[in-house]
Formats: sequence, structure tokens, C-alpha cells
Amino acid sequence: MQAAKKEEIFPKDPNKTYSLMAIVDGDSFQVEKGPEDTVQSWPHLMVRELGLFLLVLAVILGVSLLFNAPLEEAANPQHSTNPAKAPWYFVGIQELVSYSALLGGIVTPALIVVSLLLLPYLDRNPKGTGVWFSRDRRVATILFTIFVVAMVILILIGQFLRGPNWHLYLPWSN
Amino acid sequence: MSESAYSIKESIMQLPRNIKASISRRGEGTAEQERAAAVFGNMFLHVHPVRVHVNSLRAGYTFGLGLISFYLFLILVASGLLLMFYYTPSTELAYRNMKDLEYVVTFGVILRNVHRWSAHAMVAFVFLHMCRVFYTGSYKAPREFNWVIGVFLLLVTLFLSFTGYLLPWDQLAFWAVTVGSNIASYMPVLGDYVRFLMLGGNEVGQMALLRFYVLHVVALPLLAATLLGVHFWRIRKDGGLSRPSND
Amino acid sequence: MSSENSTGATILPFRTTDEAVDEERRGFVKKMAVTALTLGVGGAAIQSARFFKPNVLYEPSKAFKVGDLSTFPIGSRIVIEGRGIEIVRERDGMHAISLVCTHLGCLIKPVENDPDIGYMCPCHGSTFAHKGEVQGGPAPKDLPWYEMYMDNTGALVVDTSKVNHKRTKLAV
Repeated sequence: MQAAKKEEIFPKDPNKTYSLMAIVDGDSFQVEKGPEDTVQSWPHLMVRELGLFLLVLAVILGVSLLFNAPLEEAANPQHSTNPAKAPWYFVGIQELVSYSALLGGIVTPALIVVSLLLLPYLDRNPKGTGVWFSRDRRVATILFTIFVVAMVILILIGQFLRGPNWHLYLPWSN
Repeated sequence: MSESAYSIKESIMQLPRNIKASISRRGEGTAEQERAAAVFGNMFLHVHPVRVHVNSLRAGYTFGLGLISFYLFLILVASGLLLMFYYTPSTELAYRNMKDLEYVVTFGVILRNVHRWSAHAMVAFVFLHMCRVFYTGSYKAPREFNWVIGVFLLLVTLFLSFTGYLLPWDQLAFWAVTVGSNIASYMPVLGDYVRFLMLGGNEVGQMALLRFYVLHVVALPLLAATLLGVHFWRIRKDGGLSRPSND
Repeated sequence: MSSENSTGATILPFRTTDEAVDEERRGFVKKMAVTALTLGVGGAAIQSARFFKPNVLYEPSKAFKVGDLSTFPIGSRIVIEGRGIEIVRERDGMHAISLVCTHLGCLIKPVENDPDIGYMCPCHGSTFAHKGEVQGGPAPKDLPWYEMYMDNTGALVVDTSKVNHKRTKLAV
């Protein structure tokens, strides 16, 4: 058993004298503030959560009343659609696949997943937690932004700029 | 023992109050204690701490992105469960079930829309949530492992969406899955085997539809729910939502 | 317990070596146990995974009749619906070419009246020459030719499980 490290939280200043002046009956200065700037989860947090749920549900219901989910004709293994597109979140990958199936379809996604998994173990810089776009981690912010922008651009190209035979075309040209 | 106080008449009179008290198990306490008991005394709310840091309530910090993803998951579970009552995972019937949902089943078309749009929204919001966690540096110690779980949740979300994509058995579904499964076959060494196992055969057919259905309605949702539980649990174990260190 | 040793000077080094040996043995036993458990459970898990491999496939046979010789006049290119192949008959013979894109398995469309491009994939835009060689796009391999023969009833049979690597035409 190691003895706990003894460290005084408020070391006494030898140049000063200390004495207990008075004990007063009453509330402390922390009344209605809570320890460490906390508030009761009920109702402060949960009312907000419930409100957000109702908002999400209302938006989804509203969208569902206005727009119908796409449904094409029944599956026919004898006729491939032209162009055959993956769901939008995979269209970026499909765009890469149209350059090279191995590099775009396997290597790039695997690299993305592995680097995402390893990210917290590689970026051990303890600064900048809890602040949006902290100045202490500008490089990380820039790198991640490049990744996000690349994904979004690939998805936009695949979704809106690829026509029959996967040729590039402009959405307003017919 | 005050047996004289007991009377069946009194019990019946007190019935509603006693039932309510037995459920909530609350009573005498200060307002503060009652509010705390409302959280830790409830099985569904006790994932929350009794007190939260004011920073966690700042809407401009989290934008509620993780919570929105979770709500979409709940909506997907509920609407998916209802859709299962009218869906058969068979190449003969699947597409006809879709048409039935659209034209015959009461509220069927809205239900399918809710499921489809929530699925798209969930992929988007999980991704946005990941961006928020990155830009606020919230994956740093001691929250590294929760980020890892989050990455797996993103993958499960994508797989859930992809397996669900085949189920309507329309042209969009068939060719997207044909292309997707062929991408898997480019994997070195194991590629063709993985594709064969995924489709349960050499081509996208009845076996593939059944496999995707089982993954979509049972295996992956269970995995997602389990990972979600761990994800929430770890938020508290790792010290709540991230916040600036100098507060 | 060895409590016989009484002098502190001898006990200290003796104990440490004793503990070290013990630790080593414990470590070894632990490693063995973990290895045995991993091999046992892992092996069982891998064997159980065979459950997911279907042993019987209800898929169409790989070898199938495509019709009599008279259905394929000289100079014709006829797509066999549902089989993903095209029968091409030229003056010097005929061959069966795959219409499944070597890129990602989309169904390729034959291109009519083009001297260079014979086939085009609608998914990712790969193009192939009349003999199946890759002309452009992301396709990694040429379109395979399949073995073709005439059975004893005079019907032409294509076997898609056998690739005709030499690209020999069936002389008729």
C-alpha cells in the first residue's frame, strides 16, 4: 500500500494569521446555483428533451405528409436501370468506384473507418476540448474539414451531375 | 402493528392513490429531493444524472444532434415494427406489399414515408453529430472509447440503411444492392466468399432478400440498441458532456 | 510456507526469486489457458459460421440450352434474356460472351452499329470492344467468353461455369 500523496489544498501563508471569526446560521452563497454550476435534470434538461422530440416527430410527420418515398417498378434482374445509383450516402463511394473499384470501394472506405477509429488515440493533444473550432487544434480542424468537404462534393457530383451511362451532365440540361 | 387501522373499505377508497404511490414510490421530501427522485427513481430516465452541468443545456453547443439521431432511431423502430405487419420478405410478394402499403393499408403510405425519411435523416444526423464531436474536440481523453463506439454506431446505421434499401424489391433496390455486393467482392482474398455469404448465393435473389430482412429487422437493430446503451452509459462514466476545461 | 528461514538478509533475495519464478509460472499457465480458450471458442465459432453458407442453391443451372443453330443466322448478335450472355455468330464461327460487367456486375447493353465499341455498361460507363476487350471506363477485366457446344439433339449449349480463356470460336 502506497501512502496517499499528501498535498495541502490551501497551504498556509506563514506571513498571515488565521482565526475563525464567526459562525452564521443561514444559506450559503451557492443557493439556487448548485455545486459546480449544475442544475436539476428534472425539469431543466428533460423538458428540453421532450420539446426536441416533439419537434423531430412533427418535422418527420410533416415531411411524410408532403413527400412520398420513391418506389420504382418491380425489380427486374434482366434490365439494369441507367444509371444505377446507390443510396445518396453511398453515392460518394460509388463516384470513387467509378474511377477504381478496389481503391474507391474498398481501400478508401477502409482507410476512412480505420482512421476514424484510431483518431482519439493518435490525436492526444489535450487542448481545445469543449470549444467549437478551438484555436489550439487548427490542423485537426482543417484536416477534418477537408474530409467532410470532399465527401459532400463527391456525393453532390454522384447524386446530381451523373446521368445515363454515368456521364457527367448538368442538372438543368436535358 | 396497528391491525385495527386496516379495513377493506378503506383499501378500496384509497385504491387509486395507493396504485399511484406504488408506481412512483415517492412521497415526503423537499422539492429538490422530489426532483432528484423523479430522475433516479425512473428506469427510463435514470440514464440521466440527477444534476447536469449548465453547459450541457446550451443548445448552441451540441445542437441536440446526438439526441435527434436517437429520436430518429426510436421513430424508425416504431414505424418499422408497424411496417412488419404488412411485409413479407419474398421476391414474389415484397413489391406487391409495397403497393398495398401505398394504396390499401390505412396510413400505410404515411408509415412508409416516415420510415424512409427518418432513415435518410438518421444517416445525416449521425454524421452531423460526429462532426460536432470532432469540432468541439470531445473525443479526447477520457472520452476516446465513446468515440470508437460512436464510429461503430455510424457503421451500424449505414448497414441498417443499406439492408433496408433492398426490402421494397424495386429496381432501385435490386441494382443498388447488386452494385454494393460486388464492391465487397473486390476485397482481397475473402472478397468472393464475403459476397457469397452476404447474398446466400451467387446472385441477388430470394436468399439475399431473406438475409437482408433478418439483418435489418432483428440483428442490426439489437446491435444498435446495445451500442446505444453503452454509448449513453459511457457519457456519464466519462464525466458527462464535454465542456471547456477552464470554467 | 517456508518459515524456516530466519535471517532477514537471506530471506529478502530468496523471496524475490521465489516470487519471480511463481509469477513466470502463473504467466505461463495464464497464457496457455487464454490460448486454449481462444483456439477452442474461436475454432468452434469459425466452424459454426459454416451454417451461414447454403449448401443447396435454388439458382438456374449454369449450363443451359440456347436454341437451335437456325435461330442464330450469320452476322447476328442475340441476347439471351435472363442469362446475361449474348450469342454472336460471324462468318467464321460463333461465341457466347458475358454481358455482366466485370466492374460491378451491372448488365451491359450491346451497342449497335459502332465499329469500335461493342458493349457499354450503364452503371459506371465502362466500354468494351466487340470481342470484349476493355476500351474505357473502370472495368478491370475483359468480358469473358463461355464454353459453347452442340449436344446430341443438335441444340446449342452454353456453360457459364467454364470460361473460354483461349477465345476460340465454335466452328459451325
